[in-house]
Amino acid sequence: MSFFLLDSGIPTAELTKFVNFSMGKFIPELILTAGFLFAIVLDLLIKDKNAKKLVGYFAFIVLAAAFAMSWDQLAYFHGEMKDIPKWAGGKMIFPYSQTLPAPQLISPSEGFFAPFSMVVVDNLSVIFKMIISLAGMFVVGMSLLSREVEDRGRRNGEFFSLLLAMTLGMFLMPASMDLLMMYISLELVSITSYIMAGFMKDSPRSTEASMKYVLFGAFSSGLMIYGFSILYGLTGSTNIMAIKAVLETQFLSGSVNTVALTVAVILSLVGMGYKISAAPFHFWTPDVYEGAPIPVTALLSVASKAGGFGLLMRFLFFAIPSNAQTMQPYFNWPIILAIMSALTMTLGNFAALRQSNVKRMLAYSTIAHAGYMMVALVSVGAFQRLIGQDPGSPSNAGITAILIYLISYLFTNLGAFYVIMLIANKINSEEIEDYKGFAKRSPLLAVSLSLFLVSLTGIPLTVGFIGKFYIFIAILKQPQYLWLVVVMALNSVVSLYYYVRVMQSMFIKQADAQTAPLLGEMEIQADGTLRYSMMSKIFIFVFLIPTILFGIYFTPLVDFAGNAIRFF
Amino acid sequence: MPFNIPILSILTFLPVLGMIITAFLPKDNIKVIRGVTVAVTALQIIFAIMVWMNFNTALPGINDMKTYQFVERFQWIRISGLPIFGNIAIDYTMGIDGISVTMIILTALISFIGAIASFSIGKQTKGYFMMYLLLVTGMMGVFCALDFFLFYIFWELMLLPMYFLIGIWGGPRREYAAIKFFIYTLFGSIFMLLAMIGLNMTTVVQVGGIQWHTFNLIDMMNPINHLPGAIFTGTLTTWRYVGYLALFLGFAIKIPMFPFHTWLPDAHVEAPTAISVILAGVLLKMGTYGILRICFGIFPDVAAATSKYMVIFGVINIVYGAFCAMAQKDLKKLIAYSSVSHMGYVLLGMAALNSQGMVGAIFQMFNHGTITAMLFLSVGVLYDRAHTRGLNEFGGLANKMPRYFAFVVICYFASLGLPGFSGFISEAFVFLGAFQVFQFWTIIATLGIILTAAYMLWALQRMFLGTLPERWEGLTDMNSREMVALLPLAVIVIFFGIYPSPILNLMTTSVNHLAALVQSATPQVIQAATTLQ
Repeated sequence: MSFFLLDSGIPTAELTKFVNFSMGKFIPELILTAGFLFAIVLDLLIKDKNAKKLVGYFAFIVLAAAFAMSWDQLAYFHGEMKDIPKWAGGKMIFPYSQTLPAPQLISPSEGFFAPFSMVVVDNLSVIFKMIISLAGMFVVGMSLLSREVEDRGRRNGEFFSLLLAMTLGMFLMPASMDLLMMYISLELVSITSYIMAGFMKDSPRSTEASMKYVLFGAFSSGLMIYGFSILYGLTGSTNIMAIKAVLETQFLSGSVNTVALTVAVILSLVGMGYKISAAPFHFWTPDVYEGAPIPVTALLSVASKAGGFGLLMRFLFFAIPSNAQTMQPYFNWPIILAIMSALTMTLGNFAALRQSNVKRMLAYSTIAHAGYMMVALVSVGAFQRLIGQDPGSPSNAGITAILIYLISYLFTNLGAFYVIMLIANKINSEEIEDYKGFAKRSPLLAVSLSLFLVSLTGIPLTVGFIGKFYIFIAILKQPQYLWLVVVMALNSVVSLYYYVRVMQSMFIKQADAQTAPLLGEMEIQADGTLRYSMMSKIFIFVFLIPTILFGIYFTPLVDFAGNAIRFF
Repeated sequence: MPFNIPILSILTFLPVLGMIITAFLPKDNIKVIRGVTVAVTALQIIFAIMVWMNFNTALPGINDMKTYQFVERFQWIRISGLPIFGNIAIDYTMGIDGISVTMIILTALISFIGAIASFSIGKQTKGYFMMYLLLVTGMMGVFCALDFFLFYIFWELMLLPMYFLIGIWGGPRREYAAIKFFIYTLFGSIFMLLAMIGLNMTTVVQVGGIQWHTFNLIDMMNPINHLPGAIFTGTLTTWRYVGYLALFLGFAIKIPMFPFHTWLPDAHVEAPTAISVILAGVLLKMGTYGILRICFGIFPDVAAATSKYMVIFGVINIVYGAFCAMAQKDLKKLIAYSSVSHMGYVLLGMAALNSQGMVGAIFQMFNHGTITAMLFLSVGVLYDRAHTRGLNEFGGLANKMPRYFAFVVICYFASLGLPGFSGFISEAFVFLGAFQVFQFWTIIATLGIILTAAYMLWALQRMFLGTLPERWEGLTDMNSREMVALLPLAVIVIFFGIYPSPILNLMTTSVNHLAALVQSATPQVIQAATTLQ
């Protein structure tokens, strides 16, 4: 960035202001970076292995601070907005320009347009950051209550510092405006998640998960970087806005190399598809989700997936130009994505039907959910009018829908994983068979897990329904994709079957000799239910209340997600 | 109303209140738990009677919001910041007209009967009654809601309680039956959801200078509100056919219409008696009610154009259901198939699209509700004692259980449509209406009457006449609780068989209005209108 600025002829004093301004907009990421480093030091300082939890509390505070700072960056567009007039340039760090002029000062205090920026702060990325940091906070909370993590007392510290590093990567993913930044942030997330997946290195399952994750990850990110290099070769730039501009001229003049572009985009999609576990790049998901400690699985399934979607959205919406008249992308990626999404949800759902392990079943279910979210992306692509800020554009419906879905998925899926973790804490099993008669052992857990599963199915009065509802609205605005709507609708029905199987096991079946015994005799209370700490019970409601509340009154949720369409 | 109270909300949410109270009761205090449910449902009957007494039969309702009664309307969701979705308005709108008032009376009645029949539930009583009350809320809400979104929520609200009620307290194959019921219904309702979204995108009302995309069913019925160029705008467009079919599918599964009926015998056979009563008494009616209210109200043109296919399915239901019933050896399964057959009359009457047919259909809905509830209760009486339902295992019960025999004779004869019982009146109306339009199919459908008589009388003969097998020497006659459940229904069935006007008067105005609405959208009328222009 800086050498362009130095070449631009802007006085040094102004440059200092620019850097200061940019750094000011980079605070959440800086907090995370500092927090990560400090957590490592803290971990070294604490000798007592029971006090390692302190690092967890510290990580929670760091994430909360990052969340708060991200919230501060959010530009509310309707209602009482904080700074609409300044919004055009004021909310961006390292902002971009579509026409690639030299960096210009717009207003000395507020912002610059600078080409070749790496990262952008706009509402889309800010909302992603909020989702990710919230998920991170929840996962820290879960980890503090997790027996799997607690049992590895000595290494607890590194768990939480890695979590911070991973969050940093996920913060950068949806904000990346440059292929290199995209790659670096993706790798930052990947490498930390390899380690976290293998956190229980004494357990063969966990090690195997980590190994598979590394192999698949290395392979797909290799393909992605190859795709990026072709893209660079085609356009001579790594900045996605520049790529878009060059591609647009190439399309208009007819000089575009379609074969090379297709190969490049598809190869790039491999890396991103791997992150969101879209078919056919999903093969790692079940093994990793099953093997990793449950909090890590929860983090991968929500935050990492959200980051992947952010990256995918940036790439597809900003790197590939649309025809100004028809609003159709020149390169028909929506159809590729539509086929991928149909494949993803169908594969995910049908594979989940046959699982006997709840964690593995939820892994397949997250694949299916990625498929649903991709449907929303298709609806954006089928009518793309992003830059130009036409609030009435149907493409924006998909962006809002996907964020609503992600938020609903955040509470629901984390809640489901949390309850499964609590159950596993006591019976050390995630087999559906071992859930038999669990409703008697702990009615609260059984009921809340059922509600989360109902929400994942998308039945009204839960937030999952609202998410599906908005995706249906978004895609129904594109009648040519009616087939995809039908596929998604049928998939929702299929998904019911495996979610209900868990409820069936908990409520209808009775515990028998084969059911997993409890870990300790002391676990049972006088009234025959399992003993859970007050804290772990209260934490369920952190997920349960939004799941139900937003299902009944979803205006705030939709309004919040609606902010995301105000980007650039 | 004597008092200005939100009576429909009370009717709907009283059970939720009961559920919350039940949740705080100790688990082993079964008597109080039962008492709460019975009290709540008894209160519902009182409120339903208040509604009945204060109902103005001169007001049609249907597609005119002003003539709906007991209307409650509150803003619920207003999303106006996102022009891309349109400004979405979801209201809490409750209101009833002649079609729904009969269903509300039926629901209150059957819920009460079901609560009494639930006394035989032995295990996990607290959970059972909580689920039961939630189910009642869902049913009542479906018939009161005038906002599609609200309707859909109530519609789906019943799924989970019903799943558990069959799944936990059902018979040997309960898990299979429960999940089958759940999946079938969700399959239908997901397409209903899609049609609902399409309708929402189509319908726009102006309030305060802002265009709102509304979910109000009555606004959806008015073509003036349809946005030009939206997917369901116009008459008889392909999209309207698609939308109609999507909705119809959701409702047809609930009725259940052939070929979507296979969940019903399983669910009925496995469900406990009270739940069978609810299922046959109220749940099946939600399908036909939905067709009348939503399919006919919003897509009258498509309804008129496709009624000739609907009648075929109705006749298949009647005849096929009857043949299936005849082949059954399990009494409960026999009655389940008789439900399929009897719901066929409802379809037949609706497909006629004239006042007689529709009055017959709605009255048949009411009668099927009461009669089939009796039938299932009577099965329950026997099953509680003998623990088997095999038709061929009994004989000569008439002497052993005379009181029981008397009730059984009433409900069997009512079911086969003997004059003097309410079922006769409704079937007569259905045939009267249908014969004007579809002579051929109506003649085929009358075959159903003979078949019904055959399987009912045959069952009666096998079980009650002849000699009593020795193993049943110990059977006792009905006890007073069972009488309490059956007696009101028997009185109603006979009373409305002799004097049906009170119920018929409730619905006539509304049905005439609906019939006129649909008739005005028949292809011939539409064509005539276009030629005139």
